[in-house]
Amino acid sequence: MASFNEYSIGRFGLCLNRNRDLLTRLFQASEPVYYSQVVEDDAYRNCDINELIDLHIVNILGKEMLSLTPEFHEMISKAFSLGYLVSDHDVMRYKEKLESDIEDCNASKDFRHDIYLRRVKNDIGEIIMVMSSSVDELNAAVEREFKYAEDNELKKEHLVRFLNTDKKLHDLIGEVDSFLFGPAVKKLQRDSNDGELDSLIIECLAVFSRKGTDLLKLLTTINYYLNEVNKKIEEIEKIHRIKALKDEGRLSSPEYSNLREFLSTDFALWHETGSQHPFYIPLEDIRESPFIKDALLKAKIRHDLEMFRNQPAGPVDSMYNEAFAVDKRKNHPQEIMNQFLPSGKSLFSFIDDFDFGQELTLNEKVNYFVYFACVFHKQLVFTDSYIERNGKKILVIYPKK
Amino acid sequence: MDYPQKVTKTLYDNNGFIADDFNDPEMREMYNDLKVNRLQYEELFRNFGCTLRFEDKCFYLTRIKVTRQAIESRMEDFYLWVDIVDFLYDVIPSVAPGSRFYYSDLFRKVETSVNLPKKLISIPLKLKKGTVPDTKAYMEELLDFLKKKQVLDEFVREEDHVTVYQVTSVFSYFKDYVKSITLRSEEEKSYEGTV
Repeated sequence: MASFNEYSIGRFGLCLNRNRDLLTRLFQASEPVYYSQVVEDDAYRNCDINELIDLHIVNILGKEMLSLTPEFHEMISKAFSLGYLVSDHDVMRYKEKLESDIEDCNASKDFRHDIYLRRVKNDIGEIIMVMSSSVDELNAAVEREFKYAEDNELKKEHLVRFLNTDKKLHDLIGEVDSFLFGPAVKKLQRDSNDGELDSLIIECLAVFSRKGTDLLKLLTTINYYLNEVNKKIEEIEKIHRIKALKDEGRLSSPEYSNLREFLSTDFALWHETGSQHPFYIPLEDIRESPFIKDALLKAKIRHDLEMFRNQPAGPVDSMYNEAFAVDKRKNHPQEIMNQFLPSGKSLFSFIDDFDFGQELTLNEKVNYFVYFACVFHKQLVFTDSYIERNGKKILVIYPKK
Repeated sequence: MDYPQKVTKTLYDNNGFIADDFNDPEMREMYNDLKVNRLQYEELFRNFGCTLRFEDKCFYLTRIKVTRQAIESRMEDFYLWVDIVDFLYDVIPSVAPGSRFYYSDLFRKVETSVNLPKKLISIPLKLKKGTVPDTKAYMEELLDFLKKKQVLDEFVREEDHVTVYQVTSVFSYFKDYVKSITLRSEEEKSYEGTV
């Protein structure tokens, strides 16, 4: 890793004496890489990316780029350099330097070939080192996440996907390694002439091009999964914090959260645990049950009755909604009715006097009144007389004896 | 509007959700109906004092008018869900819409743990009358509750007739809801104190 320099790949590419057409063909043969997959920071990657775009290696879709941590930036940057940083400029410089080195040796042709191959091999060795080093860093990052996840009791199987991806990466490195230093190369090293050497290097570069793309994809995938794990851990931590605050009785305090404010604006009916609206008449019953409709018509004060006739569902339902807001746990309708039936009072007078645990408005009392009249109409007697409250006429209803 | 009564019953009468990842085909039909006739349904539910919302492929209702008393009541309902989700994350940390699990796995994990049974019992769900109040009873009650609240879909696997539970997108609704709540940390408060 220490001996790696930025131009290694460029110098390696030079001995091909092939230009970007070849590279472009090689890269186009593999699957396209998208800009959004590989880059986050324009300023950081700008120079390399331009080259990649020139070579049609990276397709820009104009999408937002993935958010990558600095260490992944670095790794991906190295992955770039494994196969992608071959420019004409680098090629020329490497060629000149290599040829002048070999000429300086003043050795026989075979020996010069040997040096030539060794130099190339060394450069490839450096690349392998960089790849391995990237994998080590990756391992360390995965290990860190893994440990963190374990400390936070995140289940192991949740991370298996990352480890599988990591294993693929190891296999990939091994494959490249065996290709470059395997028996075929050793044979060529012994018997090669200029043409064979060139074709060997072309083949090497082709492998690197394909593997470089694979590596890049794997790194992106791993990064994606790690981000997902991070998000998940954040979610779990937040729930644990909310739970802890709740258990300490501090969650509703504005000093600790905006929960109270939040609940006053946005709260799905789904949260409301009650099937459990004790003061609730199902809509179908309101609309279709002749008993309830009849009782409702009998019980409603005149004003609401007109509304009910004109538009059966809406106003009646929303009126009941208001009634539901009243403390539904303390007051069960059947219990209230059990108290009312032996009382001998009229229904509205009873409701007027009843302690609902809070002060009710006249409208809320009327809601209860209508509710009881509907649901318990079989146990009630509807008279023809009315009492008047704040300008509203309310039917007098008694319990059956 | 093809299913006004059924939609009203699900969303309003039963305080439910209608999502496109429910197993029930009728639910998916209602979901499509809601998507097509969204404006008419919004108008219908406005008459009921509710707003029709659509998030994460889920339709649900929120109340327009909120009394102070209702906020206290909401607080208790919210606390119940905090208890449940906190417990679920402890048992299945990878829980997310679409994830599946078996009752036996879940029960084994709870039973072999020291803290989980205590957590489970502390969730304020009422057991059915006459039930022995042990871990199994509480676990079944919790699963029934989650099924009723549409967080879980239940189906039987054809190969071996084992019951599988699948988490629905309703879970992500609550998760996103919790995300929107701002918690103020001790550090922030002490910082504010020094300014």
